Amino acid sequence: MSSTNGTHKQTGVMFRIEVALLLSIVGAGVWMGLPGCSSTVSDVRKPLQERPVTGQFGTPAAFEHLVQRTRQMDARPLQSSTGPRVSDNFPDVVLTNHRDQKLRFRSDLVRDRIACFAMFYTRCTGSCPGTMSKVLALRRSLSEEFGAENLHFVCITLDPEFDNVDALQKYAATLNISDSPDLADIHLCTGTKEDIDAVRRTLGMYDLDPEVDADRSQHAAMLVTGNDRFNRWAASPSGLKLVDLHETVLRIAGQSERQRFATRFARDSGFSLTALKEAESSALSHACCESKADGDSGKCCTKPEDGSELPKAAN
Amino acid sequence: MARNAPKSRRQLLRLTGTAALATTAAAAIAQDPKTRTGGPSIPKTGPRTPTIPKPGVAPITPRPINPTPTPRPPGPVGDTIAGPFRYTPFTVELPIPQEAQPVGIGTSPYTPGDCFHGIAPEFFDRRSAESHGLPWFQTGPEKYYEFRMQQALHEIIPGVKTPVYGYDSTFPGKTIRSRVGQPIVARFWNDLHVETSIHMHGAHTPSHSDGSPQFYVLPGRARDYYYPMSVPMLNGQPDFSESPSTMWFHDHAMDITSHNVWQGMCAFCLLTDDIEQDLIDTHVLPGDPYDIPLCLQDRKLNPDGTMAFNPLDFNGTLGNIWMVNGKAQPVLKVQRRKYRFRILNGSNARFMELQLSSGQPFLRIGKDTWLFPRAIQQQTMMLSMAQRADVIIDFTDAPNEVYLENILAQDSGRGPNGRFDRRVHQAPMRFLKFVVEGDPVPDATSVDVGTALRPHEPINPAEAVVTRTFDFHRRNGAWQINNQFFDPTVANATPTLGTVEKWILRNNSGGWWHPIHIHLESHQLLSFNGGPPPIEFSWKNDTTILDGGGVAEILMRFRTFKGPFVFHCHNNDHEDMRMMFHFDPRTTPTQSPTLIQASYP
Repeated sequence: MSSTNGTHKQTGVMFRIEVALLLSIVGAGVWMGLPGCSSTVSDVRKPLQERPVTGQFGTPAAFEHLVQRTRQMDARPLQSSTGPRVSDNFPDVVLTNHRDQKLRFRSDLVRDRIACFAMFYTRCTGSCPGTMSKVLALRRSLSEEFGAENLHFVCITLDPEFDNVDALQKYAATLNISDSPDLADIHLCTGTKEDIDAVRRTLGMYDLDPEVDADRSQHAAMLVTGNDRFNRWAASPSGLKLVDLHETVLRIAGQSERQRFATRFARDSGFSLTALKEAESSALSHACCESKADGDSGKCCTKPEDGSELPKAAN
Repeated sequence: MARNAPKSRRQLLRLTGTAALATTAAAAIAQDPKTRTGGPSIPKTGPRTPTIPKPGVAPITPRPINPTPTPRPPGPVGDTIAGPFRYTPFTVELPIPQEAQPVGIGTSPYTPGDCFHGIAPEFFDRRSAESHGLPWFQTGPEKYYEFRMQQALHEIIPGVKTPVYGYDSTFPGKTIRSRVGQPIVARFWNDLHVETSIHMHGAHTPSHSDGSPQFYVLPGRARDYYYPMSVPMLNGQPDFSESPSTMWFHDHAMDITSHNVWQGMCAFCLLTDDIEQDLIDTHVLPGDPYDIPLCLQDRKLNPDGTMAFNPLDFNGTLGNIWMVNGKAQPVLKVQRRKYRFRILNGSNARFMELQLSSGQPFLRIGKDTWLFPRAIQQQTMMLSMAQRADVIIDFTDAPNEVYLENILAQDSGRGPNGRFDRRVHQAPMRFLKFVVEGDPVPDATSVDVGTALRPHEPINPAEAVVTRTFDFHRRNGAWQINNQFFDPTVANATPTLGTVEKWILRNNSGGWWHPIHIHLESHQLLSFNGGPPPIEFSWKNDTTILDGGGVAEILMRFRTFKGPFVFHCHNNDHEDMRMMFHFDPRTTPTQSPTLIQASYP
């Protein structure tokens, strides 16, 4: 056990150097690919037995690998898609949000935007409270990541007869949805039954079985993420862990290679979303994981696994 | 206010020309990562009066990729109509995918550290992948391959240019033909704008080279995959009952597998070991050029000739064009002799039940990756997505025209109509036409019903040390296994290497069909829907059909490689919706669920 600790300390020093380098590069704003970063090359020339096993989940070697890869990732913005877009065929129906603003689905909510869509209704006692808490938590974490201007959340009611603007406004008050300029827009939307149905079907949130589809209690509990500029869409069950939802939105909607995949890599290497950022405060031993000799049941010491490290919803 | 800055910048930009707008905007974004990336701004606190007038019906403006879309003029009666296109079927010759050529054998053509996702050979470390005391079988030096994943224009329908993705720009990709025991290092370059991950379907391969959905090949980057192309050990000896014959590799990236495979990312990998080579050399089985891979897929095209794919259809993408090896309804001229066909259902969501129009049965010699212990006869063959049928068709006494056709009725991504044992049939949909020419030719191929092929090692159910049950559900429009969602960091099952487990796969998802694919090793069916499995399912499988309400009890060994590996539904759209779990073989008994032991981002 003591020898393991010794290794941790040694690699800890190495991390500090790596991360200092990493941060200096961030500071300079040159997050471009640095081909053949020296430590990678020197590592691979070592005999196999002397190399750290990079794949082992949550280990110092994995963290080092993660830092190197992140450093190589390109931070330049990606080009927009120029071809036809999925949204070309979206209906441009008008929805009304809880502030009584009229919004066209395709033109205002989708076109050239990053948007996360969910279906809900205010009287729902099933999946909606969970979905809404995820949406609000994502709103906080993603606003920080993208800038509040760059994305918005659209929650559309399945119960437009009951959920008029007043009902939505009350619901927004219940959820304590803040209008802070630091947070992305959130639109709780209603509309005519037909329009909402068209939107719902466009976003794939329906069931092929008409009976299931008509049963509101079985409605789709999904988060559909659209990045119209890159013509990229994906859906995730809203029951996924918050960290996975956050990672998915970043991957679908991120503006650069680094923004899209650094978080994915961090999570897959066994570190929390903020491990890289936390490294800044030299909490390196804090960021890395302790793992037993057999590599089993590695305990990630950073944050709990339930995703609660992400900031809570705006209140 | 920060909120006002982008607005004024946009007003400024509006005054400049379009080209200037693009460059300035890009520069602005480059300077300020928080800059608005587009879209109108919506004031947060607006008056309670409509701010945007109700629009009329918005025109949909298709942007054609082909400068002049070429819907053909109406042809003779019998033409196939596929959406906006009309073509005369069975006029285009069946393309047979080229064989991929290695870029090196024995000596690595690569410099250590020259690959972004470097795993093999420079990072390849058996300590990270292999269990102690279970070495693998290797006979030859490493073969090095290089593939570039690229977009290319391809004619599925004659005269209609369709942009596809391909390994080396070909659809399907080039075929790897190699020997069991000779490791392959494949460097895949991603020249596309989407992330990819390559799964060698059916291979016994280390976790880092298994194409796990989050071990991406990032756009513009490359990943090295190390395929030992080996067999696991059984009682201290190489287990040649597990020698792979017919594998295929395809995309497996999280959220985008369905799109990538639909766009064309699939290819064959055909291996032989001494047993199979001997069967070919002694003319039991036909060899090249009478051994032909057939990749059967359905596709749909947009009016502009592009692939019709809706990323927001989560049920399962179906097409209306019947395609073999990338061509709609091609024709193959054959001699009056026996042929071997490796038939792959490479569709995203289309199940198939295949038959020959001549009424003659198939002589089936294998399912999925492996040869059967003996050849069997089948009138029709049921193939789910990703399943393969290794068959011999004898054209000696066949009529001059024989069609390979699908008779299974399926209207949606839910799966075929009816249950597995009460399948609903429809008028045959013809995939491929065989034109049988000339007189019978001398043919020494001796394979016939009952011919011994590859020895089979049945797993004794008493060997199972653990029984696990996996229930596949649909809840609120999403897929779950055992009431849980997929977590990329959690090992849902941790079998101990060298042991046998019994898994019970139950489909409780309300009539949906799911073909369950388990990575790493073959599995053997103990029972299927409460009874003995149909004979073609009774040996080795890598993908097992669960029809609506279906139950399969399977036995599986876990050998050679530590995890994590995945098992999942091979309806690619369900897979993208994370109908997936990790199993993570360990060297020591481990309680699950726990964290995965390794990751290779």
